[in-house]
Amino acid sequence: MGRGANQFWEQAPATAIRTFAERRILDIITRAHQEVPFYRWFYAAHSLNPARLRTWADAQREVPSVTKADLVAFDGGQLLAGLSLPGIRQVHLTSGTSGMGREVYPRDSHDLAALGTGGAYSYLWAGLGGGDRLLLTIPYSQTMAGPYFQASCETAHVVPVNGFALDSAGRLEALRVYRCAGLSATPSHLHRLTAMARGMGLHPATDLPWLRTIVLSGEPYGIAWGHDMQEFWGAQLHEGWGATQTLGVALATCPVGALVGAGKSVTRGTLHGLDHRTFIEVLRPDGAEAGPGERGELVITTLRASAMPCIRFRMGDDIRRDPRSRCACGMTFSRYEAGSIRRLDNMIKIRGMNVWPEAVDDAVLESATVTDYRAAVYTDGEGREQVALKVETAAHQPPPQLELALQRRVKAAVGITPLVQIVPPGTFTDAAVAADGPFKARRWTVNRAVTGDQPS
Amino acid sequence: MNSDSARTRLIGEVSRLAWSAQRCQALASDETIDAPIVTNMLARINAQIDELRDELGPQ
Repeated sequence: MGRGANQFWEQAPATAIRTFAERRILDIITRAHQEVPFYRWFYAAHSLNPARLRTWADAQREVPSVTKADLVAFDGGQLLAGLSLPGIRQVHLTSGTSGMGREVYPRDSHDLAALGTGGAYSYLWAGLGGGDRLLLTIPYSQTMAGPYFQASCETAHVVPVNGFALDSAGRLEALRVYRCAGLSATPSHLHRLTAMARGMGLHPATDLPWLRTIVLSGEPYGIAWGHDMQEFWGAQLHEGWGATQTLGVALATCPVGALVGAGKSVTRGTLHGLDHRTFIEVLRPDGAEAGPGERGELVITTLRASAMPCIRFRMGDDIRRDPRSRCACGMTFSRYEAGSIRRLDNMIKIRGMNVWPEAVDDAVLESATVTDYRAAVYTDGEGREQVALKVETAAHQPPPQLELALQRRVKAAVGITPLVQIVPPGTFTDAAVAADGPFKARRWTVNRAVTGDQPS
Repeated sequence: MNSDSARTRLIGEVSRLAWSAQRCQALASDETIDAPIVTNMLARINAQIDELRDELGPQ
């Protein structure tokens, strides 16, 4: 294949990997039930006796799936409880922008040793290594992202260039100064950098000849957009998918890349599951496993996480199994369509942050003078992601400084500072939420430049 | 040497490495040595060897 990361697992028969993973899942369930407070509580509440489980089929039938709401219900009010467990070396929180609370993931030394392995597969498959510089742009705080990126680079022998605190112009400059071979960004941020580079008359294919790989994560993207990015940057697009729950990357594109083919025949590439590290189920709404070409919810079980494993965790992400019978790379790992993982709930990725409209509802509608609002996420003329709020007030003369107060409140809630415009009473006459079916906020519209050709 | 026998030999060497690292950690925890930083580093090495053995895969 070339550009492999670990031939043993990449070429192991799929049935052998599956057997290995299924056996380990049973061990993990038993150990979690004995040692992890959440699972002791959760399995007791579901009357699960892990000693009865003999096969994966038993587990699939009897082990309940876990949701964010379950974890938050257990963690409620005891954020620090996990830290008092013996052997804890780090704690990683989810972003906290859901309005539901933050999941708490204590990590021990085994977790830290495993933190960079999945990411290293992604980088090595993307052709990075041997001291190549990689510009990192994804923001982080008490989430897993910071330690994860550093560990992944270290494991892949890639030198991180930490561009988190740089503005877009500074990041373009860093690509040049450090002669970066790789760039890690969300599709939206890549779009922003592209608009800025075009505005500056930069021609990356010739001005940044060292750049050969762009690793996308966090959002879906269109085929035509991706093709345009490859042409402009003179670099191959790759993708990695992972989360705090998965202890890093669980799916990554192989050396073939995120797009395959040329010209008008370009199609989406393949994400491969690191099946020896994360057990992946794709469940249709009826609970059955999705077949080739079908979409379903991504449900994961971590096979390497130690202090806080995730067992049949429902990610809330919708993914499509690869419709093709094989990938040109020849690897035996499970296959999924690149570029089209999307949320099942209302979550929107904005500037790399997870934003749930419900959290913005709480921040904006907290003011008694506000009666309703509408939000638009869009890409401005400079390629920057913006959130514009039109806020309707009860009085024709709203309180002074209301725009500023709302900006601050939204920033505190979800980490994004919106543009705010106050509009007079009676502006909005349409219903803010759908009257039937699954809840979907109608206050929000998303019109981004990078996601134009999503498959249904 | 074909890749299977090379891998078998590597797994054997890593097993010896794991045994040695565990032995070192036990020795370092002797309180007369009084070097928690050494004990902690050995704990980290042992965790990394566990991860290494997982990536190597079963024999």
